Amino acid sequence: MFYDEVTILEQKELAPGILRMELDAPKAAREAKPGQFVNLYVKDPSMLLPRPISICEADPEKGTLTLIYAVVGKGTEAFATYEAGERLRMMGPLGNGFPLERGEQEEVREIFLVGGGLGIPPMLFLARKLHEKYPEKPIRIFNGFRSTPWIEEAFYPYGEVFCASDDGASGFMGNVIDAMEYKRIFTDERTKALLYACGPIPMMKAIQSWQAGYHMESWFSLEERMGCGFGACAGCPANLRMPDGSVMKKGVCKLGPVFPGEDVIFQ
Amino acid sequence: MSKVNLSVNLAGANLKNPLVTASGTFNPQAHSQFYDLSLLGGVTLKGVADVLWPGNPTPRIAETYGGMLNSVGLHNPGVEAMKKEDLPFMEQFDTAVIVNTAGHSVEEYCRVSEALAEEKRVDLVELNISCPNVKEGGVTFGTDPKMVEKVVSAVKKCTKQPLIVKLSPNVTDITEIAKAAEAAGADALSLINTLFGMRIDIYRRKPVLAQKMGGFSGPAVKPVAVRMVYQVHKAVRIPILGMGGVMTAEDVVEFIMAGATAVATGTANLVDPAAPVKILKRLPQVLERLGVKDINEIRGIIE
Ligand SMILES: Cc1cc2nc3c(=O)[nH]c(=O)nc-3n(C[C@H](O)[C@H](O)[C@H](O)COP(=O)(O)OP(=O)(O)OC[C@H]3O[C@@H](n4cnc5c(N)ncnc54)[C@H](O)[C@@H]3O)c2cc1C
Ligand SMILES: Cc1cc2nc3c(=O)[nH]c(=O)nc-3n(C[C@H](O)[C@H](O)[C@H](O)COP(=O)(O)O)c2cc1C
Ligand code: FES
Repeated sequence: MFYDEVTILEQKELAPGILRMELDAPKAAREAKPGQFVNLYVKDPSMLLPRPISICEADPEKGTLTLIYAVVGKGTEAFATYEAGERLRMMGPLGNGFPLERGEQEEVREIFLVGGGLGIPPMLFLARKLHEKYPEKPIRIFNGFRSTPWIEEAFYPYGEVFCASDDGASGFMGNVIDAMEYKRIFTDERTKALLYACGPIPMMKAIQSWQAGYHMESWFSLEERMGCGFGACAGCPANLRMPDGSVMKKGVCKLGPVFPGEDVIFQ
Repeated sequence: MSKVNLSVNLAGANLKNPLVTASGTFNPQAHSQFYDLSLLGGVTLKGVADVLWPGNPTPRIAETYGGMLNSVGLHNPGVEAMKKEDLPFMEQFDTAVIVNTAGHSVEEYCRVSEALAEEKRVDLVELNISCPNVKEGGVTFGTDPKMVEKVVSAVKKCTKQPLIVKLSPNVTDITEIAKAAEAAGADALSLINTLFGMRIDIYRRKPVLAQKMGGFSGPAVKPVAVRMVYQVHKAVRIPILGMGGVMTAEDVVEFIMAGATAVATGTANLVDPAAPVKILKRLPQVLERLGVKDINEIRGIIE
């Protein structure tokens, strides 16, 4: 894991209030796996806590990390003012990321990637890695936006891309569940679909109840308020249902942020 | 190599330097990724109870200007889990180990102390009296001098290692509580624990923390902590482990001048995991500039 200052190579506004930041971080770029995140620290010392941001892409050759973030509060507002050449403190990669090896199961014939809002960026890194690992398995990518999509073409090389938006501004009008139901293949009972998701809680909850009707294995990437991001403060537990029916708390930052979808208990 | 002496003695434990980590803000496995724990005077492990405590619902963490709120609620796996994981892990490091203990009753505190009695790796036990006392209707043990005297004298009897009593700042007169703990047999005091705070999300018209209120810590609380260490140092004879908002080497010196024997970093460990070693690197320079040869010279020099 890397922890030090890094240099911003580029910042670009993709849509109002949504920015892409490219960082020069060779060590982190080499280690990064899809679903992992980094802690970004605000330069203003009155904001103490890290801002966890998912890794959207990692290029070990160029030594770069790409992040996409939304301006939602004081910290991300500050990030948006930083310019190329400026340095900021970063820690990562953190967390465990998505288990790509689940795709090896022979019965898995199609892979679903579901992203909602700011849960979409980490899906890009995941889509590329899955496509490299299992070129023969079709990947169906469902991205849900509030309105106009701000990332789409980047996914094209890795699978079939479906955009859904609440207002139908582009692609499918409705939510990602409607889109998946419409597009699902699931040839027969002996096959299983593998699904990876990251997005707002209502979306994850909807996937949970939707998937119950099918032979499907899911992995959810969760968000939680973090005090440290590296397993020191017990600030970020997720509630998970264990096989014996008991509830177990596991830290999102260290043991997550990805957990088996069926086990997650949303409050 | 610096010529300044940094070693101090905290209630019988020799610390190679006055820097310790504060409970709940430090995890040995997590922090050892960033530096060699042997560099520290000591570490305090997270508050443990006799059995697992599940803690509070989330959000448990909120940021405030120059500080943070937490309502972790003493989420911990229980003392036996700590004995199996953290204490063996600490074997490889040459640093003092303080175990912070939690309980809802005197019996629960004693069960933790007894479970630690034979543990050679535990140098000191730190009793967190900011826990809710279930037998007395959930008010904290640490806010009433009579209650403090009762719990400390009972826990002192069942604790083998020297006993540090950790004081809550959420009281009218901290010196009364400190004196009660000293009279009951405390070997040292640590202060301050977190202040009680709250934040409201005005857009959602709801508290930010699920628990509504939580412990306030970080650099914003430092003046309160320095004031309390100063007052307590004047009121008792036993040594003080000072904490509350420590971020820099200058902060450490400030606490020692106020009367602390050793100083702990809390929130700083979360904000910058390498904070204690950065502080330690600078501390001798700061002391040299002040013309100090032995850190013990300046303890409690403020009249
Ligand atoms: C594992 C993980 C991955 C994430 N990935 C991304 C991403 O790729 N892109 C993106 O735009 N956002 C992502 N987020 C959310 C992002 O961390 C928050 O939007 C950001 O911290 C808000 O900071 P702020 O100072 O602007 O907001 P403020 O509300 O001012 O922040 C105050 C405090 O609350 C915390 N906070 C606020 N919102 C969230 C949130 N939703 N989740 C966790 N902490 C929060 C902040 O970190 C800060 O400590 C991720 C969160 C997690 C936990
Ligand atoms: C996330 C968090 C968890 C804490 N857990 C404990 C605990 O288990 N026991 C305890 O005595 N104090 C606990 N504390 C209090 C700290 O040890 C310390 O007394 C307090 O935070 C003040 O120091 P600081 O401002 O440097 O953080 C906790 C503080 C934080 C921020
Ligand atoms: S954020 Fe501190 S343990 Fe996860």
